[in-house]
Amino acid sequence: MTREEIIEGLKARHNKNGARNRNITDALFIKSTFRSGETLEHSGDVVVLADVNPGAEIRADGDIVVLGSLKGWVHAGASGDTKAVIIALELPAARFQIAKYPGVAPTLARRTVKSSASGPMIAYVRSKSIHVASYAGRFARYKKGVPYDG
Amino acid sequence: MTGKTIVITSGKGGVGKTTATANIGTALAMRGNKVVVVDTDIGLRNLDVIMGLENRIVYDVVNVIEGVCKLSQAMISDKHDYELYLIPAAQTRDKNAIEPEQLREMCAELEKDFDYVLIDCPAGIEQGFKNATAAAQEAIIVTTPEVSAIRDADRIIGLLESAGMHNPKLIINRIAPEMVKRGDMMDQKDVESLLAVEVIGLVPADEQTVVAANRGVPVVHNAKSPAGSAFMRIAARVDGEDIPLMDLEPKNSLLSRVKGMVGMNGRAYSHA
Repeated sequence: MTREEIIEGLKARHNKNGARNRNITDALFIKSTFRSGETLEHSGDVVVLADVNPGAEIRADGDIVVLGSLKGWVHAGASGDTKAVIIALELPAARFQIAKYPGVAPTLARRTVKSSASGPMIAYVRSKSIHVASYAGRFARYKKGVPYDG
Repeated sequence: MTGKTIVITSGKGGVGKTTATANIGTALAMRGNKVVVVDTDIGLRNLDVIMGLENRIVYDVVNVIEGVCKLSQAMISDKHDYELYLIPAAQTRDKNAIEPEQLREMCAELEKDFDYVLIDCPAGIEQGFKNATAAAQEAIIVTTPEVSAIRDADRIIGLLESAGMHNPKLIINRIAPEMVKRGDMMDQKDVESLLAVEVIGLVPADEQTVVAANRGVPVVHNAKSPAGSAFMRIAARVDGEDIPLMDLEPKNSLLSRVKGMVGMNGRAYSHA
């Protein structure tokens, strides 16, 4: 099988409900620090192999993964996909958004969240609000997430 | 001779770009290089004042670019006996008086005769910044250990990278070692982890810097000044020497430690 055939085969798989296959997307890798004033829009997933600094903006239709500290503003599932997630090794971002749901910094929220908990964090949408939890794999079921917005 | 053009920039104003330009330029010349410093802060010129050459200005950078005078006519020789020249900015014009391409041509001309061409960049990211950075091959970014200055430096590094100027060097200016020791000020590691660029120098806050600027004699002339010796070391690193960064210790650390040992220093035990 050629590389193209493998990719086509994977893309042909569908989720149970027939939704867009999210397992294979066009991902964009950013291999240097994404700095203040830099903006990016992408139709697939975005992976940053460094920090996203305050003042930087990333919009992606898919997931956003930051292998560093996420301090800028990111919008996952920008075209309305509420199944999109944001994963970051550190998540001190004041604000981010998944689909139409904005997340507010835990320190600003009523309930205090231990976002300083070490280890990677995942942000996702559950019952119309953004939750965060320690990352335990892309398809783990995050039941004990803490609401990220007030 | 083919020299290189280095722009000294910061984004935020008042962090010490002009002071750094004057001092690194002077120190490079003291090391035996042929140096020219160019002030591109048109309309708000300062470099001539810091270097004490204010009342010797006849022609400026805009005159050169407009062809009013020859390049050599605008170059003011420093008062000392080494090869240091200043091309001042025009005070009665604004940043739009020159184009990036014109400044690049002028610096290419200067590179033929000089080892180093240092460009003092104005604050901001508009026309003045574009002019100054277009001409340079390398960049030195000056910041202070403050959140606002670091945020602006981050933006500047991004803009330089998108303009194809990679690996800028960072100078952290006005570090107060005592505050760092107390944990009230960011240290080198904090700044480095935020900006992810190579640090080329740490300059301590030093009253002598202000005194020197007011006198129009760059602080590198004062061998006793900690800031002066910090700029000397930066110049050596720019010149290709491999000098490790020094830990900035509070000025009276040894004395206060001795005092603490013999119980003279009340503060030493205040938290015990």
